[in-house]
Amino acid sequence: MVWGECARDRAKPGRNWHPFCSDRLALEAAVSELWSDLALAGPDTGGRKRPVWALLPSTSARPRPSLELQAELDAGEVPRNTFLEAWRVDAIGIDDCPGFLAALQGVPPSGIGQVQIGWDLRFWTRLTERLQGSVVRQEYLPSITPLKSTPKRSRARGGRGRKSARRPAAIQFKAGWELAEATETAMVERFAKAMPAACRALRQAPASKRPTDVPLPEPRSLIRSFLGCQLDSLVGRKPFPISAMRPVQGSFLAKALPSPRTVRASQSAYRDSPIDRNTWGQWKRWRDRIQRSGADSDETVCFRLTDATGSAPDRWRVEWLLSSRGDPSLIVPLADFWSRAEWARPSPRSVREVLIQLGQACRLCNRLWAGMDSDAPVGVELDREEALVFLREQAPILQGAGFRVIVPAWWTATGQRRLRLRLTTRGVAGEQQPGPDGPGFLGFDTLLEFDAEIVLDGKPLSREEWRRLVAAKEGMELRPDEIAQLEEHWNAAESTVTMSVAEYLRTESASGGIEVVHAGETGRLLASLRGANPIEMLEQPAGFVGQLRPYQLRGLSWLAYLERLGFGACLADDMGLGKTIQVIAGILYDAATSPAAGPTLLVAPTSVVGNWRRETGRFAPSLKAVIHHGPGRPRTPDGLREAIAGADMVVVSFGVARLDAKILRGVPWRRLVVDEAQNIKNPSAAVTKAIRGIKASRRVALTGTPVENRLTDLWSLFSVLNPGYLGTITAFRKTIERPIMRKGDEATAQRLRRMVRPFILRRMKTDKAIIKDLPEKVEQLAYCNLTPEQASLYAAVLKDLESRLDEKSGVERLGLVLSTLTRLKQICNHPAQFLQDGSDFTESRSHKLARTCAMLDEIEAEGESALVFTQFTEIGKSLEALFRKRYASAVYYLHGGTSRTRREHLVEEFQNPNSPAAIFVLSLKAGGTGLTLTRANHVIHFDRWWNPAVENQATDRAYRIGQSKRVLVHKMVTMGTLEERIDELIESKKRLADEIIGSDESWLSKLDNETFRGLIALDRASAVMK
Amino acid sequence: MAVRGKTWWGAKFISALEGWMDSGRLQRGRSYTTEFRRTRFAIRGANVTATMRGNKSAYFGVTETPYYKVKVRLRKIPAAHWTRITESLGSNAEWVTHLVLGEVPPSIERALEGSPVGLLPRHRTDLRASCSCPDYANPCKHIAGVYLHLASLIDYDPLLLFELRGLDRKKLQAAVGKSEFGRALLGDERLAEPDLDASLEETERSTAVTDEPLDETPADELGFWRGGSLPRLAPEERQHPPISALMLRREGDYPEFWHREVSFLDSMAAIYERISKGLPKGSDSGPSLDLAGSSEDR
Repeated sequence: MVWGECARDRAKPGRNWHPFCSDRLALEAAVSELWSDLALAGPDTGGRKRPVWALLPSTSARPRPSLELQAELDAGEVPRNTFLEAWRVDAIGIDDCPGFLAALQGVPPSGIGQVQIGWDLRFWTRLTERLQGSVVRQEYLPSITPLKSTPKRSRARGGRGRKSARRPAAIQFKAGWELAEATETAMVERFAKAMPAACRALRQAPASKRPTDVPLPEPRSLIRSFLGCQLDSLVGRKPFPISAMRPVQGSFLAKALPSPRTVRASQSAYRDSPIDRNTWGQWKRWRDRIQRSGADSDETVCFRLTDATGSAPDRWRVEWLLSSRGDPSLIVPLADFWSRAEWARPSPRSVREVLIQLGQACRLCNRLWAGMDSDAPVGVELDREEALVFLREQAPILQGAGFRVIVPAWWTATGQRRLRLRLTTRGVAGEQQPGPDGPGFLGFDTLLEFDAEIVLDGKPLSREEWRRLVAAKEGMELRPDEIAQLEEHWNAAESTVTMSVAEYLRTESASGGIEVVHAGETGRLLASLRGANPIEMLEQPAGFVGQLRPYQLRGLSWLAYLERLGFGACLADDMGLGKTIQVIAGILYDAATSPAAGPTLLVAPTSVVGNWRRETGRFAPSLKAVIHHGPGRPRTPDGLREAIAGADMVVVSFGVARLDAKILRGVPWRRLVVDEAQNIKNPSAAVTKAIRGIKASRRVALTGTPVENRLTDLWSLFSVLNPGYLGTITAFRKTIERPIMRKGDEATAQRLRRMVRPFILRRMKTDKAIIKDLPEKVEQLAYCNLTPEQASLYAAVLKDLESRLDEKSGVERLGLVLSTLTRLKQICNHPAQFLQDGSDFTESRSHKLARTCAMLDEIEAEGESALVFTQFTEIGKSLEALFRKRYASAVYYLHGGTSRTRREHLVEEFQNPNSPAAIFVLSLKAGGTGLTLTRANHVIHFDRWWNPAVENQATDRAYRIGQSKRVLVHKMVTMGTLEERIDELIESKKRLADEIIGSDESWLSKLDNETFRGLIALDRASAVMK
Repeated sequence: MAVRGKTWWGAKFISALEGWMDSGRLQRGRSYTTEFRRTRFAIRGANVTATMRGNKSAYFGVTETPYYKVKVRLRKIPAAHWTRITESLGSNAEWVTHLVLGEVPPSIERALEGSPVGLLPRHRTDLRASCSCPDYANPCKHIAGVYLHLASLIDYDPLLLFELRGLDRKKLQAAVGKSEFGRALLGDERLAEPDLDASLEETERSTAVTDEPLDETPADELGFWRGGSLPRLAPEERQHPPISALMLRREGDYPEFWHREVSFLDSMAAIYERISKGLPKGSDSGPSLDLAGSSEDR
């Protein structure tokens, strides 16, 4: 059953009714919003429902809203005394519960449309996801459950008064399914810890009587019961066709499976006959043997395949061993078990257990029986071919059934394979033209030549030797398809293999049976793709203002290196590591080495377009950056070319990239840079297609949220970076995505990993090499623009001031100055804060807000916590509400009005290492001092304060003893406004005497009117994108 | 449909019968394997006796439902051979293991070497049967019904074969139990009748949602609405096993409750696959793969 809350009270809640619960219509609408199948499955509306009560934290008069709704309602202070009270709610039941919960898996924390999912529902969704995994892993088996049936009264029909002669059986047996015990126990324990009490809040009880003092269901038992029901309905979701039912006819399984609806009648004869006790007993013995297998014995049987020795190359052995349950590292040969001294003779029970385990292993792997025909079985001898079958097919089965199998090191992924195809790079094939940049340029289509030879244990084989080996199955470490592939390469052109770079990378990623010897210049280049050779380290380019950190230099060198080879690169460093300046340095380096090569097109979200230009101006003033934006922008390729003449960098938003796709396509670009590349993760979206169409010889993508977690996203990214490399989307889905996602195919995942790895550089703050380079506190400015709305408000305030500033003096003037400052800062934050008209607090109205949210997205994706400081209580409240809605992280808000106890509670909750990651909004005054909030390693200053000491003090809430991570400080600055000038003031604080800048703003009134006007002026050119 | 045993030894038992019985009779014997036909059935030592319900037939002047007495005996293995047989059984791990798992060892006849009679019937003379029905043919359909029933019994209880050959199950276990492996056959509680009452209690205990008195501070709204952090799922938590129905395969095919002749394991393998296919499709996000990893250390 699901129930809901809505933001408004119901018109006439009845007695005991929850005042703001959603009614059935709203619930159905909400469910169908989240789940398109609703129309097919239909909510379970049939029948009379027993009234549903929800036990909720309440004050005497009302239930408390959920955390999500509190954010929406702006609920203010949490009352001190709440208690659990039952409230009548409307609820709808959902028949296809697994289907519904599966649909919810993809719903973001911010919800869809007006519907948000409660955390308790999220919990059940995750649990169902885990359960589905167990169904895929087949960790469940058919079951028969005995139930005490309550004897029914025999019904007197039609007044005849004849009583049914048959007395109802006292015990009935119900067919169904049960989870493997070990799996279930692990699942219950793991999830019980995470269960919110809200999961246990619903119950059914008569309408007339409000349940009081009702205990909550115990979490473990509730989870167990949920798993039981869900497993049966997952199994029973799709009816079996008659043909599939045929084999089970006549067994109890027919009752455990969903039968086709149409033939129910014909089967009813059997279906109606009850399962008897005898069948149950037979099932129970069988089931106990499976569920408890080995549980009673002290020893478990393991298997070890030992290599053939040189003197007897065809004698492989599977040796049988025993490990002790108490100490699994203690392994003895089974032979020792049989030859124990009289006094240590194993008990009949342990002999039986060992024999049973051996017998079960033999059942899974018939070949092992041969070793049992003995009075002291110790193992079995295999020839080469059998050993190969054992490794490939039987070892995984034995392992899957719970046996431990020890295989030779060379067989394991980490081990060395003996037989390999050795490719030695000869160089670029034929008379190919060197690429745009002369020697060193590769690109995906360049054909490479290799000398191919097959080596065994590092020794090259002649063709004749190879023939003999294949015939004798000497090549046993290779799969047949690999042998075929080796041969194909070898035969292709008399031991010379030609393939394109893309093909080479694919082949080399796919097969473990290939080793490459890199010779010559081309070889060196290929080797460094795999990180075998260190790439050439670049110096910081001349003209770069500031100092690149060592890892940033490495990033720059890496970008330049891949560009030189003609590959697209994705820089996926953690937020705060400075992706922007690495790219700017890269463009600067390129501009210096190949002057007049053309401009770079940079696509970024609207909220950071200005930031790019600003950062470019700051770090590389010699580069000319142009923004292509706004209604006045050129509308033809020629116009654009003219407008950007001489520019090194043209910045556009994703929106413009989409709208102006044709125009941008008409200009040849030196380089395409896609910032926040998660924006092109949808391969069929118009923006992705537009960007894919842009012509540029070099391509770079930046992202802080790892794109590689969703394979389609990854494909989309590569379709822009390195078109064609990952194949068509259809082929990619079929051969890569599906095997990985549906079957968890590790080999395919590994291959994909190897394929994409050379082109993604991802460094994390926690990397050892980074930590070394990174100071413990990194402060960064995040520049943003004004939206047109903000700019017009800003201008209006200035205009209003203009006439009055000269008229006022003394206290009046001070008042005017201060109020103007406040109003301008409010506008920079968000129009809604300034207008105070209850208008929408949306990201589209404020770039600053959009940018903050984008940062928090990344912070949340990393599972980290953040502090957000503001000097305005009203914006704090709005931020809190928005964050609650948008993020799954917990959101707290602390301000001047927060009571001391509440404050302590919030801090404690936030610092609690077991609570989920959180976003803490604090007012600068109330939260800027005293507290310890070291759980956070990000500090965002949403608006700026005049005194750096105050800001630093606030930053030190996180940056202090107890902090184990690097702290990243993000200061939001709106360009072209007083915020930027405040920032400049703070930066140049040294030039101003400390006594001038006090801790408040009163010193500003000492400024003369002209200086003040300069301080607050609006520089439209940089504030607003045109 | 041909009559076939589920296990190799059951199949061999029946195929031996097929060798000296016309197939029509054996086929008709099939309809005499029901409990309706077999009103009494007893195995005492090596002797099998049964009462079979015949058909009324006005033509033959049979107006009352006739009941026929059937007696079946297998030729005994001479007592002198048993000591050697049990000794060699107990000295071979493979044989004991098969017996412990409830199977007849495929190479069992090797243990019986030298005995004039095998374990499974080989000659017509291995089985002696009589029936009180007027049918002159031996075996008649009543006898065939008893044979087939015997075959289905030994499918699940191979020790019965030894019993029919003249060695009591207790004696067999005692004799085999003298040897190192043979001890494994002693006191196997795995065959004990399960306790229904305990199971009922267990079911109630494990399915009931128990209540928990309220001890949490209801003022903790965060705990009420959020709980602890949600477990994240690893990719291997949805990995298909190397072969279907793997978990069941340790127990072997044809469990006792499975009366069909098609393989139980094959059927279950297909069922598992079909169920997996019917799973609801959630978001395709799947488990996260750290493809790039952290690449700073290259």
